[in-house]
Amino acid sequence: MILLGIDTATEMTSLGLCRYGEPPWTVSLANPKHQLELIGVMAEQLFENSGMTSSQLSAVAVDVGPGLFTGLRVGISFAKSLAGALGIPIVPVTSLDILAFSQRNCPKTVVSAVDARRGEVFYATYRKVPGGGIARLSDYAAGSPEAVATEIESLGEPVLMVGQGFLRYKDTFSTLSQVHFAGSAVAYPLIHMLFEIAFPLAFSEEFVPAEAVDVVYIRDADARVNFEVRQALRKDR
Amino acid sequence: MGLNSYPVANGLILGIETSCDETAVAVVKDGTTALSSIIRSQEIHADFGGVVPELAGREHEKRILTVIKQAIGEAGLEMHRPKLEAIAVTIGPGLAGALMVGVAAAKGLSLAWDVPVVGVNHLEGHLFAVRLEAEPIIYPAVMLLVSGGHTMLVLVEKPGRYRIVGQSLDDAAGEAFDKVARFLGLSYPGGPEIEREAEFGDPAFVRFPRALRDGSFNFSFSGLKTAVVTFAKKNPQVDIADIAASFQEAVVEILVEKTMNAAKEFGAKSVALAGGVGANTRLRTVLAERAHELGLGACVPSRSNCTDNGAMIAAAGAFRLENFGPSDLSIGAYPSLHLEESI
Ligand SMILES: [Zn+2]
Repeated sequence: MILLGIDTATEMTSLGLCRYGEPPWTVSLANPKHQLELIGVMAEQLFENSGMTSSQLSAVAVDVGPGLFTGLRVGISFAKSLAGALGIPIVPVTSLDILAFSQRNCPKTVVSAVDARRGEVFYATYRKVPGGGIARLSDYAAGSPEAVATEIESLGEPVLMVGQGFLRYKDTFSTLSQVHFAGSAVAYPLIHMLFEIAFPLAFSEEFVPAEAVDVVYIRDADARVNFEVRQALRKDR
Repeated sequence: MGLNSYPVANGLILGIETSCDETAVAVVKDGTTALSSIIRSQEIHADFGGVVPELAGREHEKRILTVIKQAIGEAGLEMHRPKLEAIAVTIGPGLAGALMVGVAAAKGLSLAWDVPVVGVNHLEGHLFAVRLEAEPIIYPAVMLLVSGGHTMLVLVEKPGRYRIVGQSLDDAAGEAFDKVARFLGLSYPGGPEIEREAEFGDPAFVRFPRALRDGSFNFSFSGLKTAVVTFAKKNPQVDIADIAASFQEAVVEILVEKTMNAAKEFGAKSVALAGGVGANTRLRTVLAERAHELGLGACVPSRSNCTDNGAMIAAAGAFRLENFGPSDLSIGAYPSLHLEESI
């Protein structure tokens, strides 16, 4: 089984090709303004370097967010059309699950976070499960660094924080007791972690038809929020 | 054909258009015959009185593959092996986040099918809509490109050779329709609403000012918009239908007059209509009538070829491919792309 992996949920553009059981071919570039320009060329080079062809793919594994909306839409539109054209399904994986998975052997509670812009982060809470792996304990949510810090403090237990969402607001989070940060090497979703999550799902055929895949937004578009507030105010009058 | 010419074997081109609020995909043969053309308009923006960029991006991403599949299917091709010459895609101008969805999708298809991508300027796409009509257009032509985002008069010597001879100095014609419609309490988009009201009104009820009748080919609609608003405020008893009809008449008259003047000035053999406002019945009728009176050819494309669509992008893509070859896979989205002038 060969998977193509795509991740554009953060400033990083990461792609990989992996035949199950073999080390993956990966390429990753930090160039947030040019994810669209990079994605096709990076995929083309992966195929060239690995000697694999798109017709050999069994599925496309893609990070569906939460994260930066424009980048996610570039990655997912690319993944959907590629999968749709090849007639193969998609394995959607979330950015926060990928980040937490890198800390699956940590005995503490793990919280992962990515930048959500507008002074917020997207985050979720995880715990190691017996027999390997890590389980998500909370919904995916968005919040200000201060609100997330308060929530983490209220857990009253040691917490490992992973992800660029925490590193960006390190000043806010480093004041908390009983916490520590996973290093910057795992701050962005890593494509081989995406594969580690995606392969078991692909083997158990937990696929999604390509056209049914969508971005995990968490937060409504600002325009819609503003509109609903305006409508509510109008009704009050 | 120059050194860059690219061999076109079966002439099948897929066209993808996502620059604004239509998710549109078509298959066109030889740059002239649409085998399919799917246009999904995003109704989500109506509540907001205008296109919301973030929502447009979300809607495009949600629907893009479904619309591609429909276009491939309706053209009688197989999604897994469509055997296309190229995938033409709008790269600008337009909303950045909206354009990106189409370009990213085009790249995915390109890698899966091993078919090259051809980036297309949306404005050039509109100018190629006339090529999809049964009656071939006679060049040189003066084309009136009118939409929510653009109002321009383009002298087309032949495909690929353009000169912008006039454009709006303020609002686009479609924007003027939207703003007047909103003021009159009509919904969005304003063009069809004004047209519906105008049907029951008297176009000569009030003569609104026609701007820039100084021999220039540029347009200005802000004075007209203000005049309509002022008149409506002062005369609340007047039927909205009469105001809408009088406003529409003023817009149509100035658009057609300048198109004809430009055709005379530049020795054009025909005039043509392009863009979403080109769906307006009164504009279509008056433009054709005046062209006939002046002995000019007139190309008024079907309404679905006037509004944003994938077929016009495929038609322009066929021309681009044949004359300049495919684009690089590193092509991006260019929100403020201009129409390149070469005359
Ligand atoms: Zn347009």
